[in-house]
Amino acid sequence: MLLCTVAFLTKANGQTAVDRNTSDGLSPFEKAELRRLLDLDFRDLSRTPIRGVLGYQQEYWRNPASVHVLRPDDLRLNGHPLTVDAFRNVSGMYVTRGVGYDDFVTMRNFSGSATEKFLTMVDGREVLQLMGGTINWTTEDLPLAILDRVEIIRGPGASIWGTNAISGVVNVVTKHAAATQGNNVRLLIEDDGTFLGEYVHGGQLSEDSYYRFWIRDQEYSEGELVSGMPARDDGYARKAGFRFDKELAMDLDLTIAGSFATRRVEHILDLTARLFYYNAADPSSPIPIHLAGALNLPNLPSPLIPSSWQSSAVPGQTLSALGLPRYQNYEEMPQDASHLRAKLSGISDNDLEWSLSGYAELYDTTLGHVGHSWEREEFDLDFKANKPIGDRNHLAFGFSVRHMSLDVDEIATPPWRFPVFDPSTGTYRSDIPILDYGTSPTSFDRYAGFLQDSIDLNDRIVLSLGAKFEDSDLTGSSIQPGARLSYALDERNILWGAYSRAYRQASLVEEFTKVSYGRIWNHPLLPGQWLPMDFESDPTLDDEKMDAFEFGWRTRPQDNLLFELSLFYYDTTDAVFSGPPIYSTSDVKTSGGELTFDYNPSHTWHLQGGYSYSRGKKDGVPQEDFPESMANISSHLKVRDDLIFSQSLYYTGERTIASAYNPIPIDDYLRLDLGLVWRPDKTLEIGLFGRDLLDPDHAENMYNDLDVEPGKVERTFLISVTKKF
Amino acid sequence: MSFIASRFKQKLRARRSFVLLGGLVLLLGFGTSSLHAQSTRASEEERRTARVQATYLTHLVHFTRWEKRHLPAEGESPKIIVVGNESRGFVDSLEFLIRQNALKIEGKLVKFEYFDNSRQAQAREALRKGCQLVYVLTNSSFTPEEINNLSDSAVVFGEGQEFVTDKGGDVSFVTVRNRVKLVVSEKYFRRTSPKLSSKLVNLKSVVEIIPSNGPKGSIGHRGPNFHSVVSPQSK
Repeated sequence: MLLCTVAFLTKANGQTAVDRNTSDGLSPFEKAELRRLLDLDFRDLSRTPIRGVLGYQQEYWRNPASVHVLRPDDLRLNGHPLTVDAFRNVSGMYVTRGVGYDDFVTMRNFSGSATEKFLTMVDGREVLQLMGGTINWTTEDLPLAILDRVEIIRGPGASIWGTNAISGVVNVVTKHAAATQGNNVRLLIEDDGTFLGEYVHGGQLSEDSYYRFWIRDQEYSEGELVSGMPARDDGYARKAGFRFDKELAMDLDLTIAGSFATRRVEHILDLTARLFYYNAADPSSPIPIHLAGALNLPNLPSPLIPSSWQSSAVPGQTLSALGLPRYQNYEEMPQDASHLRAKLSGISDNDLEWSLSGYAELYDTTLGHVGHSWEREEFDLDFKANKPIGDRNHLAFGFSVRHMSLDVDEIATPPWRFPVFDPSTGTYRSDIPILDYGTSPTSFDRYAGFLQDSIDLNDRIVLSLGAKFEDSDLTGSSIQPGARLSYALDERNILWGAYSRAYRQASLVEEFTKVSYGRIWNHPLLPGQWLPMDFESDPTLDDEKMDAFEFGWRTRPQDNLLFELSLFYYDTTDAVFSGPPIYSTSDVKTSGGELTFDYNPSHTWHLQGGYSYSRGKKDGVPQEDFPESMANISSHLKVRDDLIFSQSLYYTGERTIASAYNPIPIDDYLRLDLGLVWRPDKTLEIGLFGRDLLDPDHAENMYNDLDVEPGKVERTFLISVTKKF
Repeated sequence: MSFIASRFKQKLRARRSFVLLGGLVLLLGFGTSSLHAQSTRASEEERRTARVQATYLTHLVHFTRWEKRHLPAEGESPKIIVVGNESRGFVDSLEFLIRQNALKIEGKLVKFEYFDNSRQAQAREALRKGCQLVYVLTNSSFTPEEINNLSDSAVVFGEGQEFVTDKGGDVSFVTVRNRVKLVVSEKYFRRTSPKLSSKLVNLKSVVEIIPSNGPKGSIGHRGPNFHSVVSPQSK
């Protein structure tokens, strides 16, 4: 239907298309490229390579990959406060909100125990948290004024990007300091009181050196859970950063940048089904203690619930079909993060383009709800280069070294502080933590290198062959090869295909952390006593290995219309899923695709959208934790020269949030956002947006087995003001 | 010991595979290169160069000021003229960008005219009537001096460093280090009209300024490696 509509619009608007019968010597792709070049400033234009490397140049129309590029206007015109919100406009990306400060992103794939099975980089720095295998989107977000673009590459790109680029790559690029001169203020406030303020100041130190610094404050107001209870998700995330750029000589640049982020919020742990009674008839299915009490089973504990547990009771609330009384524990979850990076880049006389980057990062967090805290120090050195060889080859290569060390600490949170017999020590303990990192390794090194050749076989076919080699204390040695091919059928059609092998390393929790998730009463080992229920980590967990096959078709039937079709089939072995009773690995097969379009019916109207389908099977069983179908369409209509009317519609199919005792079905939902953006002059922008207008609220997601219930994603009204001076 | 041994073997195996794969990549890459002619490959690269050059030129118009005496009379449009033959899509790209950008000079929409070498007389006539910017393609017989004699209001663009250093042109494009850069005569900054904004002086990585008294003058940035300059059409 979408295709038919667009085809109809194309025909109907053929006479008003951006340009029709002139400049006939240019292909529609070349015209689109010219429109993109026109938006670049002198500095960026001077950095546009005449010959590029596949995989580096995301916006080259012959790139044999499924690519979406987000720009600042995609956030401004759609009323997205954060970069992660803008991913909702990217087909194949599944973006959900748990509570106010928690966003989840999945790409084309299954979730397993970690949602972010793709690599995210901010100015070249990997931001994946290795401990839990997740990304903290609020900590990593940046002021919109310094954002240049976000490149989203769907599908594995391991041969250049490396480990964890399994289901895709998100590459965030910030602007050169010279591009953010002067002052920029951005303020957003939602009707529920959630606030975001950003200030960026840039200046010039000498004729060839520039600087900027920025601060950012995000204040979360408290929302509600779907049951109507307070979500206790109020708090703040504050951040400050700087960047210094200097041209040392022609084509020799130095960049030094850094930031500090701090966040203070609370998080919950569901304690409802953590105390059990031993089930002699089926030891693998212990009976929740309240159910045992209701059934008046023999030799029950007295009191039924330990006194330390009582303070976490939520009177009058029950959960699951069994009607279990609800227990929960909120604790502080502070996070502090800082990093410094330096980059030296240049081009030599023989066209060798190179960069040498160093990163130092310090991350300190406490997951109070599970009593787990760690401090991580990380140092990275990264060299990348590319060079045209002869007329047909463009070689890219690089090396990187990483050292990471951890200081991990655990405590038992208050509800768990009651005597339990610990068979491993033969003593009674009331200090058994939920996550126990124990004496597992805390220092890790990683060495990596890659080599890739982009070969122009003729004027129609470009072939890219490459591989990445890694040796890591965490995962041993691996080779991740990839081959991509692009074929220009004619001036309007590009076909491409790819095979890649990608790896995702198990998170440190999965590999090294013993999980004590409950207590059991009346176990035959020690009748009439509480014993811990736990499952061990698995240091022998292999990397998840994915063989990925992709096929794409990119077409511009006319200058103002672009269609892209991407199909994929992923075959993953050793995919990690959390227990109990143990972290298990499974074979997962995922297939699907995305059909996207970008259409300019006239100079004043821009339409973008797409449909994505993804279906996964874990050990042959269809997975229900990812919606099969998603669609999005956004329209930006210039009502006047200074006024833009924005409409966005998002559809997300149904799914189920998995849980051992309380699976939560999430119905499909349709979201409509409308907005007006007024730009009275080049220095001022005022936006008014209504979001989720079709529904007062709906549920999207939560951490299964940790959270009790999802938060309400509510209808909100938002005003944004951006001023440059 | 077994752990170390296993890791060592693993590394050895991985290294061997990596070398094999790298060899395969290079073999395939270089092998295929020798099998194919170069002409089609150059075409794609040249077209890309032309697109970047056309974009630069469109931008430079915004950074140039013409005094009233160098602008067309009331009711007439300022002009950009291209002379010479080419097959890289430069003319089409420039024409497209002028329309796409609704390019204006001092508030008036720009008119674009192109004359190939078979229409030299018409080109001469158009230049005599006056224009604001002229792009001289490599194979054109027009010289900057001749154009200046025909029209004193025009900025004269061309290709290759010698267009500025030896022939007296105002700006030229050069391809160096896989990028398109600008060589700009100092007189384009110094004179009152048409005059290039001094903002561009600081863009060391983009602009090489050639002093009015020759390439070894004291003012301006001298790129260290411009001796390797290659004009895209000279390949």
